[in-house]
Amino acid sequence: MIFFYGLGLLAFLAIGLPVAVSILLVGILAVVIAGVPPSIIAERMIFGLDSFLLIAIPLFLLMGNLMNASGITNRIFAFAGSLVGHWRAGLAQVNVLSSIIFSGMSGSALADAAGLGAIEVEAMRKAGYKPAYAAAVTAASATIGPIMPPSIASILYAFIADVSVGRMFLAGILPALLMTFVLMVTIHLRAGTQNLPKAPKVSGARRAHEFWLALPALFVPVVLIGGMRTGIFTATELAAVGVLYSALLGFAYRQMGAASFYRACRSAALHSGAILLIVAAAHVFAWALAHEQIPQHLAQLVGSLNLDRWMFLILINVVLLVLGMLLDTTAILILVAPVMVPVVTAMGIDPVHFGIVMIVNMMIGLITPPVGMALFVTASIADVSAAAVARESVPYVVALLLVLVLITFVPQVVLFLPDLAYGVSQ
Amino acid sequence: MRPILQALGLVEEVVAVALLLATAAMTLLQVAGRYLMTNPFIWTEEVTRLTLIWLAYVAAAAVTRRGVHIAVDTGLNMLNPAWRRAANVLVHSVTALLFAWLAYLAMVLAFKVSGLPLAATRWSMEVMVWPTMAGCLLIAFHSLLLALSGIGMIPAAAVDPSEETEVIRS
Repeated sequence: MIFFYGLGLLAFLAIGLPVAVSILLVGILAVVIAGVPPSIIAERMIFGLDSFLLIAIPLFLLMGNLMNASGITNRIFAFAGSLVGHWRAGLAQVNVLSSIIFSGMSGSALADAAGLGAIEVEAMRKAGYKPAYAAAVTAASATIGPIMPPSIASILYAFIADVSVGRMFLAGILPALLMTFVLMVTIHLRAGTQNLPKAPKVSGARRAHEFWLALPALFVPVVLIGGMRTGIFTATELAAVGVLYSALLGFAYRQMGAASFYRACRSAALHSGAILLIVAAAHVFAWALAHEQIPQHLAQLVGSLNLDRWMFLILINVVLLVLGMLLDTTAILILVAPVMVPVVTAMGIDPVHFGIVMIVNMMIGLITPPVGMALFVTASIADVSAAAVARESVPYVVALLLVLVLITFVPQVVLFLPDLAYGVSQ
Repeated sequence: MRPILQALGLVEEVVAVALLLATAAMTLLQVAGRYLMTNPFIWTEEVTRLTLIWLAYVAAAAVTRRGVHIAVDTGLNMLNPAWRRAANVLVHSVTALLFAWLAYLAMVLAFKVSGLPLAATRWSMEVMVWPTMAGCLLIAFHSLLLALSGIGMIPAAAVDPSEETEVIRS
């Protein structure tokens, strides 16, 4: 049955049906085969969304869009430029540093690639960088966003796997910093062979000035992490506070008018609609999984293979990387997490560790063909072909794979901060 | 026909934006109620969850009209234009039929839960279901129009929102 459903799903996706419709059709097939009244489909699709945690998804999307519209991205870029712009391939380094700062306010790689990315690619092109190179660095740096809290992918995973959002958020910090580090090292090493431009070093006073201008934006991640860790706010409430703060900031900076405010809201609302419809369809799919006891059968199958946990993690990484190259992030989370979380838990792997490994895999998928969304977004901004960007992205993909290997085999890198803040999970 | 569809699209998007802002506002009200008032509101969380469900389906209808649902279109893009058009007609037809049926199921569900009260507001549970039925109907309607335009029964320009605004993922 697993094979039958899997094949059906792939066929539906291959003919171009939306992910939500494809998942729903498989769920409906399972309901029909099981002879259960179809009313369960509507019940699960409607009541499945009745969750306070899910509200965080549209709110964090809105916060990211408002940050983009409010001119904060320019300030972050200028501040990062004052810090590392004078390094070799300075603007490429600024690109990565800006992304890690911006990712503390936006939970979406595509929001980063499209919002901050537009500024980054334009600045790099003006400074004499090849457009494909600028687009590749922008796409690679955008993958940090969904690892660093707040992260839409982490919220969705926490919802599916029934783990703490706070633990997921904290678990993403060290891997995100590692990704930043390896990307910056890769840029530095490549810069030596490519004669890339660098900006003059700025004075301490100028750096302090840029810091002062960016301070309200830099304050956001501190509030988000602090507010959640101290228990003052839930993840959803934090997102709402973030929305208010970014809207106020946008109006205070006089960068955001009524029209751009509406556009930011509309973009977040529509993006939320696309994601939430998949989540709703996933509830029918989850019913099919539970009814067919697919996770249990899979756990038995994996158990019968006598794989140790490391072999299993290698295997699952390969599968996730391939899926990441073919499918959208939300789709992979919705399809794979409910099946795999019971299996990984049975193997003694921490579900939070697995969640971060899974999300990093999917982020690498975002910059690999044929369905690397970040590649397509940045290629369209830079007005070059996605294939040219994909070629330029290869060293960054390799660098990110190194981080993936490290966080897979050294779970402490992922679990150190959540264990420190919340205690070791049982 | 185009002005009517544009107006419908505008209404969907404005409602989606209003629901999103209402969701944010009520979540903030919940925080304010907890920290600033002796008797916090007990209904905010429930109403926020309601607005999320409505938002999901209204926004999904707007997404359908714009043709920007999350999908894997790599295979489609490799087809020649005639086959691609045929595949698109199939996709929109399947979506239209599926969501028309879901709208019917939602309507049946709305009658079934009518009179059952929600925990905090005591509103009937059907308030959760009727807007989703409307959303499913709109998704079916937009998909049907896209399918019909694919086979040339209505002009493609009538259902093409590309000239209206920029891409949604800003």
